[in-house]
Amino acid sequence: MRPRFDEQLEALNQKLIEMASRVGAAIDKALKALVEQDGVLADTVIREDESINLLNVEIEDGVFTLIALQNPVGPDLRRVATMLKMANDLERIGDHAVSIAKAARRILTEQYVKPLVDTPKMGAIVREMLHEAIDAYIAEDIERARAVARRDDEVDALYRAIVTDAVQIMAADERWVNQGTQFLFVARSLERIGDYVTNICEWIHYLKTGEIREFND
Amino acid sequence: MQSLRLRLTAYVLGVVLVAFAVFFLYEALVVGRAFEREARRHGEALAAALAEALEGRTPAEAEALLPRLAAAAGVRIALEGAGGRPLAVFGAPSDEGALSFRRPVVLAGPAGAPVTLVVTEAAGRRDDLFSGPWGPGLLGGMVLLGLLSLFVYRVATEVTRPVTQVAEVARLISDEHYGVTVDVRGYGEIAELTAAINAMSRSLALQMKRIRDDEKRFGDILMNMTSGVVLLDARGRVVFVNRAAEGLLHLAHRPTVGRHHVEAFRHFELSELVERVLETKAAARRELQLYFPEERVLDAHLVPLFDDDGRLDALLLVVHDITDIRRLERIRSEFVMNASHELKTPVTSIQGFAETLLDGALESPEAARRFVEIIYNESERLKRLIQDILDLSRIEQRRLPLDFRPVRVKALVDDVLLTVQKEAEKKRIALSADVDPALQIESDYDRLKQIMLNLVVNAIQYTPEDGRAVVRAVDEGATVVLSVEDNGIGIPRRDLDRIFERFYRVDKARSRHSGGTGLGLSIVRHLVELLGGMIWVESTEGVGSTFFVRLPKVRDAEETPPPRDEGGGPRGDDGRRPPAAGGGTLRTDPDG
Repeated sequence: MRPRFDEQLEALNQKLIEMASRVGAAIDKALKALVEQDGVLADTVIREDESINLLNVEIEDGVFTLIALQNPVGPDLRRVATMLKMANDLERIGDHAVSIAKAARRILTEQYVKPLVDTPKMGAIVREMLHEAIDAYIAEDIERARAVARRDDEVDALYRAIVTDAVQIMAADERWVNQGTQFLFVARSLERIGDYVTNICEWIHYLKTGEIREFND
Repeated sequence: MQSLRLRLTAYVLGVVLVAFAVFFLYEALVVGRAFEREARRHGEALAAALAEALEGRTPAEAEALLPRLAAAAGVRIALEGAGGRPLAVFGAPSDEGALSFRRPVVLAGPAGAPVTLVVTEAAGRRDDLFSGPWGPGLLGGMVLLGLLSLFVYRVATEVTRPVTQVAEVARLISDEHYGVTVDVRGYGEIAELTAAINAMSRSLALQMKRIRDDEKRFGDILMNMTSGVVLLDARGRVVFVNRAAEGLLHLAHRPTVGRHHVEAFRHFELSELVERVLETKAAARRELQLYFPEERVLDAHLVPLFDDDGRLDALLLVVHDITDIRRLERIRSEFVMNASHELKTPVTSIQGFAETLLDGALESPEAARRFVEIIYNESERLKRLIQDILDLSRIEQRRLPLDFRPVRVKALVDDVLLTVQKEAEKKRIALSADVDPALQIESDYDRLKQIMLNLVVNAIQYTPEDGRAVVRAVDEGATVVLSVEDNGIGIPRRDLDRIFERFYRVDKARSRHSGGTGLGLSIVRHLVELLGGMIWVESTEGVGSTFFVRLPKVRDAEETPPPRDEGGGPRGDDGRRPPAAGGGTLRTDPDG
């Protein structure tokens, strides 16, 4: 019974990490599509979201099967629960990558009002956070998870800066309203991704300790 | 397992004991019986002789004779009457185990009765025949046996010691302590054995060293080759990662060896490729786009490796960085696109005016003349454009012969200013030069003039009427910095990085209208590099621009600028910030 459980757990774990790498790539591509106004790349992100959703369903399925057939308890139960929650968070991050790609597509032909600075910076931080969070998950390292969650403050600060900036630009010249709105959407998505990564970090904490704790308050 | 030494000793002692036993048995059976036979014959003969002698004698005579005979023969002689009744006994008392010989004798005398003569030989007599009695013989045998045992044990030890040592060495060898040897002290076959073991040990040590050396060499080669190499086992777990692969796939800062590829690579396209090859067992190749933490294009080859039974044993992943190749391809295609676009503009114009002429404008000499003039100008521009493109590719391919000789900078600058004087006057732009007449550098006059002419023409072009342009030369010792300063419209900050790129225009409409080809500064930069120098610009929008060219005073024959990929795409801070004068290389260029 036991080796079978471990095997299934390992297979699910690999699915989860594959999902994380797909979601990471989705963020990368969405940001690149936005910065370089690459419509083909934006379409790729939208198209590839399907495989992320599919992986989420597969992981959910696998977790429920494991719980039903193997009755895991203690740390094993925590692990499958963590996988379930992380997969959900990753799926939502994927959706936000799609939102960014769609925003990029809407302003594909517009000349940007100014060179993008804060948005790529915010994207890079969020991207790094996701990567680090998955590293922390693999290493089951609470300290690293906590450090990742702390970076969410940087993301929030950039979010506020972008919002202020965009509002000013839109107020100054109404020609920029469409573009400004899209960048607000993008910033909002990145900010939400930061929150989901923080969630993932909290789940790593839960995995190790059994305690559910808010890292960001 | 019994020790060979003990067994040998036991064997030898066993053999000795058996020999002893056989000896005693022989002694007891054969020799003992012979003595007995002899004694019996002797007794028979004695008894017969006595009986002969006694025949017919009187009992008194017999009694006188017999004690003497008994004493002389050392036997007991008895006479028995009828029914075994003893009549007389002479000699030593009877002894158990003694042999008795009986003879009937008829004595003379009244009785005349027949009696029996009994001659008894004492058993003790037989013992006397042996020199040593049984007791001391056995004792001696025991002592002898003890000594023999010790000797045999020593010999056995001597014989088996090398064998024990050989065994020890063999065990060490199997524990991978190669090169251990035995002291050769045995004789004959033992010596051969130890010699053979020693030879084997040494040869194993040598082979092992060779294998290890080879292994290390292959390891070093794998580790240090510029291609990324990753080895995976048949279940998709990482077995080996070389340094290049760590760099290319960003694996350096996390555990990879022993991890499943999904976890190790964290790149789903690569993992898909691995899964596919694990499934199909056929080599595959794919171009991978990496975005994080930096953008990269990798060419990944995945080859399945099989063991002798044809089972999938491992996967070999080889990755190459083709980021630069892809970027150059993009730059090239962008150049072709830009060049075609630039060529199309004058051609369209020429075609349009020619059509207008054909459609009837020819009838109106005034319009016709104007249109033909436009056509002429446009074809002039087309020619210039083509000339510039040809120049640029010639410079890039380094097919331009250079003629280095001493150049007086002042003379060159005057030459340049004279060439553009008319144009400057048209816009009432004041040209001036601040150059030490004695300043000389070793360079190609024509190329240097081309550079300066381009910069001065640009200065005039981008400076409004009644402006000014100053050409300066500053002697820095080993280098000279030539500069062209204007108080024109300047260059926007964000364009500073890119103005040396081919076809890059700050203001597309205006510069094209001015007749520029968009290649001037690109040609200038290439020429400067060809002359071993560097170029950069400082500019403030609305205030003016200054272009600087730093050239070595003496040509360094050794130093030919490295071939560069032309910056059509975004490139670092090319030509913007000069390195500190005198520091580092002279011909410097941020990436040269």
